[in-house]
Amino acid sequence: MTQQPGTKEKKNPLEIIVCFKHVIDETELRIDRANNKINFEGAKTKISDDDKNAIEEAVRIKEKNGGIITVVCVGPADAKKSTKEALAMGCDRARLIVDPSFQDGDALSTAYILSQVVKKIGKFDLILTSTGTTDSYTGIVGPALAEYLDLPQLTYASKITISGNKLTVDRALDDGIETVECEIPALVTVSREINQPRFPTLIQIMSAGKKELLEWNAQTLGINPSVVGKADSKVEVKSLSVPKSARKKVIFEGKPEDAAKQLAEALLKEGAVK
Amino acid sequence: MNFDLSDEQKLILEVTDEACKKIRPVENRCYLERRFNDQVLPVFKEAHLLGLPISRKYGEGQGADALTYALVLERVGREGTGIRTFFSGHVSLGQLTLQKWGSEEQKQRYLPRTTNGEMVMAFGLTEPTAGSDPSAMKSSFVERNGIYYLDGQKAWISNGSIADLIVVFAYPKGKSEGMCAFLVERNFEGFSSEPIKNKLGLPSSDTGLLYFSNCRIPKENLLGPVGKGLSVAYSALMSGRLSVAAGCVGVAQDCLDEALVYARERVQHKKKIGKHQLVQREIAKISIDLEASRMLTYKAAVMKVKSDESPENQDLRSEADWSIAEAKYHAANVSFRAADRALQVFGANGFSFENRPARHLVDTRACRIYEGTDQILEQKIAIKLLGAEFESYS
Repeated sequence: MTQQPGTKEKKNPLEIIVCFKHVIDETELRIDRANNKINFEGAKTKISDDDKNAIEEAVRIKEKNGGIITVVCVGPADAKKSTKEALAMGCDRARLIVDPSFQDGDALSTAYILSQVVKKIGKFDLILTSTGTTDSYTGIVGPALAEYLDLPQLTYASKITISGNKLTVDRALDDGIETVECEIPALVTVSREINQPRFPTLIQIMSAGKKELLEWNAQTLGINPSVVGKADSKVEVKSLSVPKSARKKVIFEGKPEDAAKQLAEALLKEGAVK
Repeated sequence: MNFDLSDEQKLILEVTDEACKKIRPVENRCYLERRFNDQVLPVFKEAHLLGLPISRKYGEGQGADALTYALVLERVGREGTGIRTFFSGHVSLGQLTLQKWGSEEQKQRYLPRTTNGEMVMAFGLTEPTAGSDPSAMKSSFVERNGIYYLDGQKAWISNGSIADLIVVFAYPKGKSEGMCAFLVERNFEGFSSEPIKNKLGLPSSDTGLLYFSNCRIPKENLLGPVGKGLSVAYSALMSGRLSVAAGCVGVAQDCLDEALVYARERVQHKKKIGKHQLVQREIAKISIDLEASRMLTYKAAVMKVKSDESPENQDLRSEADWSIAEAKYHAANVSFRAADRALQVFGANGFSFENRPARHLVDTRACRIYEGTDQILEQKIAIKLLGAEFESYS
């Protein structure tokens, strides 16, 4: 990191880095219930849903405060499509990080690679990530990245405000909203409710092709392949299976009005309706 | 011809896909409850798709070419012919016709409000007694003191009872030549409309009856030159037919997708029905038909792009017109057959609107009628090959 908290000059444009993951579209997975397996064949890929909220928030912050957004993705070569989508949404430049040695790494490995990317980018005020990605949802990458960079981390953000060097974040917790403040630079993980991501227009999509998109690899970043990816993964996925869901088969008896009342109470209790 | 998609086309399809995924649960409810889906407009407005092939000069116009627009309509078509029909009426027959034939003042006045969804467009050519034969149209107009007064009725108009701006055709009173086209606003005096009920399909899409009773149209709302209404109509039908072809390719794709899912899961005679060779044949036939239709449609779209780039070149226009007619004829029939085959794969479960093949079967039947019936298109295709002297109605 080339910049320490409190050293930012207010006149400089806000430098935002937003990280996303290129994932398989979970809505396109086929479930083989007979064999308890998930079939990935033919499934499309996309920007992870929650990461799209992070990108959208970066763009909104830029629209309000001015600034430059660098979008970063560690992923396969075909993540270029998603990277261009992020540029079309309003990011200014992109770094796509592709290297065979990065494959099959755990969340910590991804966070380490991202930390090296951020160091190579150099100047920044704010890093945004999602709280978790729609595929593995470990929730580790954002906080671990903050640790690698020795940054304050503000998680589960449902609202972000920047005033000068002061960053204020509302954190969406189970039993309320917690408002916290710190000075930039900092890392914020956003929650899904923070915004509704925009659709880019065709004009924005066309102009995305003209924005800077650089591909970096282990060599560019000076990363030793033996400390990332599968080679150093602390976590190994042993198997993927479909969770068994059993129906509760509860019957409410008695008068229709009483049964209806019991049903309504049960649905509320289960959180099926709000 | 190279049909490899550009990165930009892939991205616009991603955007379309996302909007389609949003509309699907709403469309499911509306279809089963047989009511108009009023979320089509806001969902596709949010995705900036309501003026996709319209010039960027006009509001939310995005300036997409005919192939990109066809690709988007193919994706939309997978959600159902009702949703795609909204686009055909609003964009292909409405906005594109206004863009091609309108004065700059008319385009500035209306296109920004149609591309942003403030106004919905429709195209009023068909009448209760005039379908394939526009010369039988009874709608007529007179001009008095710089105002046109229109009388008549239009039937089977997509978006008809929800449209705010309609391209309407009529002959001068007492004549069956010199047709004129007009831009009629919903609030013009003497205009009224109502939705058509008891349709075979398209329950979530609006199909309207339009009434003109001494309808007062300002002179500045004449569309195109006086007496050139038929040219306006025919050029509009080129765009309209291409949109139908693209949508029908999407329908066939959805039928294939649905049949594959079902054949992989449904077990009969102690094995998945996808292992039964006669089921495999249905799937293979859908796939072969689909690919043939897709190629014809993409080729037609490329021809349309070329024609649009050289609007004065009548040979290119004629080639595009022919290609589009072939694509529309083929895709409309393929989508209908694909729905029938997918329904057969579903067996008894296919005989329900709860499942998509049944909806496609009744909805896509309309595609063999509107924008040129099968029979009119067969004649059109053959006459192009035989020569103009073989024209049936000359």
